[in-house]
Amino acid sequence: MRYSVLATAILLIMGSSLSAEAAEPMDDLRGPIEQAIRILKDPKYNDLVMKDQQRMEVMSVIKKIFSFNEISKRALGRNWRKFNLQQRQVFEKTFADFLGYTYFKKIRDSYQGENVIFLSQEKISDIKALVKTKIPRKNNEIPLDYRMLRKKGKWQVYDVIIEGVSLVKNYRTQFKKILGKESPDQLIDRMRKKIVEQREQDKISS
Amino acid sequence: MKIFFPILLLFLFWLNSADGVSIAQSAEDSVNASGRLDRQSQVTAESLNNHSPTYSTESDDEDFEEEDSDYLYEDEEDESESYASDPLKPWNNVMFHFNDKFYFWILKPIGRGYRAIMPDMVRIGVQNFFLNLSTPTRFVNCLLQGKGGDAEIEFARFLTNTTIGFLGFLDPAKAFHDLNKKDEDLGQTLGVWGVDNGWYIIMPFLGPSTVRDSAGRFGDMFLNPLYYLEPVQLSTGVWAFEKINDISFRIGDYETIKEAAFDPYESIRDGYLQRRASKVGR
Repeated sequence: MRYSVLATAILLIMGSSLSAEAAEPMDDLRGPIEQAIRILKDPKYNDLVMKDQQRMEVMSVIKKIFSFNEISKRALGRNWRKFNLQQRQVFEKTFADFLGYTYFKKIRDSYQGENVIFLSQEKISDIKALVKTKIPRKNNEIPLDYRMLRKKGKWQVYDVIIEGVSLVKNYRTQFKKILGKESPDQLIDRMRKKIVEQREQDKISS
Repeated sequence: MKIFFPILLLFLFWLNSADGVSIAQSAEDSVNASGRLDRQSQVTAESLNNHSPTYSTESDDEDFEEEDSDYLYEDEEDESESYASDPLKPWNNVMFHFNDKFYFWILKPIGRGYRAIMPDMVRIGVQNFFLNLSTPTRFVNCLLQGKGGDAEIEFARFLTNTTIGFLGFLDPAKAFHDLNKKDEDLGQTLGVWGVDNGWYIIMPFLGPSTVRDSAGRFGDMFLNPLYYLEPVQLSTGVWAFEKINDISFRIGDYETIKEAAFDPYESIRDGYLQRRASKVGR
């Protein structure tokens, strides 16, 4: 009995030290994604009044694993240089809010209790990886891949690829077009307006 | 009507086969030749000039040093494969709005009504049935791309689903053998063979496409048994039914894309090109 306790303790210590040493991108991703799904499934949020709170909870989990700094930088590409320090910070925050609103709404509206299936991880380099997942649905499945970057020993998502379409690249082409005509402040303003718009639509539909 | 489509495609191909310089040249010529083409050809020449600098690197790169400027270079890496120039933008813009209205005024209400009266099981069955019918397209294109294994899977799926799947209404090949449909078409085959997208073009009713993919769609038409249904009205009717059944699963998707976009036209263009590029690469 005593031996087995000891053995378990040793195993636990070894196990934890092993996992700390070789942090795998897929393992880092799995926790927060599954936690977000648990929040989505939680019946206590069924009431529409709780919707905002649910969104904030999901976002706080997502922010642990998504690097909105990297996402913003890459969505702006070369245009990132047109933004001064303060504009960069504002952009990053507003873009995160915008993505949170837009995609949370979509996911909440169409979520039917699906689970995410983690398929594989590909290490592209020491600091870059691609984690492939899929979401099985009634009559099809949606492939969802995460591009991840290791920063200070922690894997973070910097792009999501839905059915072969990179979200970051999609926004980059749009921002490039807009910033060809408008200033960074105007772009940030556009984004704020869209958030307000969506909030109002939400109120009408709920 | 059936003859109009191939002629349009041939015309586009002819335009498209000339390289950028000579198109710009001929665009200039036509400006001189006829005043009516003035605006159109200027747009053509302009957009041709516009897209060329994307390939050249900006000269002010050197004076921008940041410890972590990886994001700058990655931008350029993935631009080329999913690229198509957009000299037909004036036409495309009109078609974009046309399709937008067509969706909201006609397709969506019909799709919604259809979804309301048809049980899920029936809708999925109908979808399976049409997918099974289009097996020849996927099978031939697997072969054309040298994917023998995938062609076998398509063949096995067809046999299984047509027999014990009740003419394709059920999908036992997927349910019991985990045989997934191989999403191949002629546009992808051409892509695998190294044919570029050509111009981006939005088709009325059909939505975004490129010259290559339109040619592919045209070729694939002959591999679909529905094309051989007589009379034409019946063939068109069945085709419309298939589209309505399809759309009944996707109501809301278009709205989401539009809501998530700052420039819906560009977002959909890029989304289409990226998705196609990823399919060609698979």
